[in-house]
Amino acid sequence: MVREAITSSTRRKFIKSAGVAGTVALAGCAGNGDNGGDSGSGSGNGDNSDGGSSGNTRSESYEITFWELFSGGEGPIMESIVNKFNEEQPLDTDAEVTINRQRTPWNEYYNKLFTALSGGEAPDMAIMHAAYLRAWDGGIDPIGTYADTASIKGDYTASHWDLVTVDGNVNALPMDMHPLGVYYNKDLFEQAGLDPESPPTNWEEFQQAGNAVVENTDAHAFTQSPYNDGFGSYRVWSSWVKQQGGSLYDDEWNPTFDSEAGQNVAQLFSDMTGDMGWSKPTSEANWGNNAFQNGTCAMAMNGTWYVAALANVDGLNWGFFEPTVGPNKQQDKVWADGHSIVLPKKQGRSDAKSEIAAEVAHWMTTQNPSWGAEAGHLPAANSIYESDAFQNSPYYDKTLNKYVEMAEDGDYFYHPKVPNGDPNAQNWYTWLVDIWAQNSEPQAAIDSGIQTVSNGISE
Amino acid sequence: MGITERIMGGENATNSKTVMGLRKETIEGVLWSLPYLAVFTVFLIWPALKGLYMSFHTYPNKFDLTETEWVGLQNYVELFRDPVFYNAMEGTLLFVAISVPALVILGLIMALGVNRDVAGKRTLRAIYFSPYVLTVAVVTLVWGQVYSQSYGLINYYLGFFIDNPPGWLTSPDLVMAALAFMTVWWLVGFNFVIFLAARQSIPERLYEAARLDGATGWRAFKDITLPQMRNSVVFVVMVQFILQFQVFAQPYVMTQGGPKDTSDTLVYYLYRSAFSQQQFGYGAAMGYVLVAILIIIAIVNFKVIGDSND
Repeated sequence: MVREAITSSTRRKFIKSAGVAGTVALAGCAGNGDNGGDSGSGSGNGDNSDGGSSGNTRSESYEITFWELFSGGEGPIMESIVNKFNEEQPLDTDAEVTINRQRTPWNEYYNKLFTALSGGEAPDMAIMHAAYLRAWDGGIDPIGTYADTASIKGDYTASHWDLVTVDGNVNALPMDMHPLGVYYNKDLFEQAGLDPESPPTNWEEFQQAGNAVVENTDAHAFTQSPYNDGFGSYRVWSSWVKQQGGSLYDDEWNPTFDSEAGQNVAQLFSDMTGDMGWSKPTSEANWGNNAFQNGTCAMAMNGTWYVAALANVDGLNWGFFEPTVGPNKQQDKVWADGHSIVLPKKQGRSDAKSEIAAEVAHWMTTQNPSWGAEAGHLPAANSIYESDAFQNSPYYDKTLNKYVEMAEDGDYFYHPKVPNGDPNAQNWYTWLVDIWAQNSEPQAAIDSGIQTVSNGISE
Repeated sequence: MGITERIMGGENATNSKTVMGLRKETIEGVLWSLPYLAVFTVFLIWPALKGLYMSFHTYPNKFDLTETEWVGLQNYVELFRDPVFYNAMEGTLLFVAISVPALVILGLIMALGVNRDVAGKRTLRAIYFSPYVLTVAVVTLVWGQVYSQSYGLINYYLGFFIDNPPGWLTSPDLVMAALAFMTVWWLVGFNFVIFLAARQSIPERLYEAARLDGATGWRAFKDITLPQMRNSVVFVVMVQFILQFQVFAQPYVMTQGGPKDTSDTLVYYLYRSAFSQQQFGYGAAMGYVLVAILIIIAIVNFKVIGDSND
């Protein structure tokens, strides 16, 4: 397996030399492949903030309620960011501003946030996946209402700015991007007779590696999602469908994945737990996570956030490679979504407080390298790419530089910003787990998936 | 002077049997009930009426529930054309069919067993009832581990006897039975306590008389125990039907309706419709269909096992 090696020093030199302009050029990941409505560039986005329309009527102290959903390795990092803010008071204002953080587990988060929004009890500030920014635009105040987006746009990479732009409106401030990658066990690769320092770069090498693990070790070769969940399976399946040139939705948001590419990858899922024997055919929750962390599964596909979990696993000698290894590949495409910070609509919140909340969101998204360096995400702010904290991250050589490379190459496509429904709902994608577990034939499962997603998107 | 007397005007009122045509006892009863009635109205009657209203409407702006659009029976019509609803109904009925008989029969057997003069009776009572005090979150998390195909307690021991122990929560054929079994373990203690109290209230002289007439064992159970416990049985059966028809947390936490949608249930689908798909009207309609089903079941229950020949 030969791979064009891009060393960490090369990567660092690139970022140092390219500086802001270079990282802005990460815009390669336009990510509009499926959702025609996402073609807005983010420029001319209808800013209407004057930044001082409230007449500076700020009171002496503000408590900004902030809802977020981070757990596992990310939770403590977000907590430390909030604590830092509350201690250092970094905003350029005389008022005392404190963030009151409330964490809700991910699987409860959006239902709770939705209920709060529709009930008029929303927080001042909330984390939101970019995929929700279209369906929820009626419940959030576009950030430009309270921040001068024209002047802060340059603080963010163009790709991140594009991620939070819906139909030309900037609905949020971007926090990060968290695309997909392949994590592999170097020790198992070695046992299988593979070079652990030369992971696969294409389908042939990927197939060879998986087969070698099955033949030469007692381990399983691959898990499509550590959590064995629908959404995790979709990230992989959609990436490989796109790599074959397939589409996921048309311009009217009708699902189009019952295509040759969709069928091929669905069949591949079935084969991986069937004839290929790469994995156990099971829908058991967290099966892949347990197997990968216990050293009984060689490869796992998951997002940037996985590094924070793997860091706590003693004795796991893991590496990372880009997931552009699907069969019949026509193009390099990799699923991505990102966290953003929104200002939910809230009756009774003064303009002054909203402006403060926007400033807090700007500070959180631009002044905290730890979100990339420790949580493993691709930071939204240009300045963070140049920071020592980011480049000295323990994950820089392992994952971050490769994620940056995929961004530069324009590999990412975004999780669809559907107009209705819950694009992260597990039940939209459990048909993929049914294929994986050999509970459904691929075509029958696709038909069921089309039905579920169509119903979910239609009001 | 008591509260009723003060309200009704002192000594004179106390001595009179009626005030404005109402008996003193009636007025006193209403007054004592008022706090509960207030809570009942605010948290049950009002939401129920609001839910009925919602089931005839849609919400064009999901973030502003004051905007409504009258759609008549459209939500109900769509519901009865929705294959997911029928699948969820099927799952619910299967769960009820497994769990309710087991909860009733097992509770009865346990109560009759403990009622006998067995050693360690008090300990058994405590053991049988103890799972009931756990919250559903605890129960589902613990049993999620117990049922785990790869790391679970059950399959660990089964592994000594068979090669590939089944995936209790991952097999479409087993999942509902597994959820029902767990539910029986969790809730049967409540039925046990009700049945035990009912059994202990049956006068022993009835059994003595029966013995004199030569009726023991099954005959005594059929002709004395069961008829004497009828009210308790009706109560438990009704309560269990109502509770188990509303099964939600078990599939929500443990299976998300899978595998292959075989553990989907009505209330879980209702929850997804209202809070994940943000279709409040549709969810409310589903809630009212569930209410209608429960009313029918209640009527049938009373007809079949209710008081009919006393």
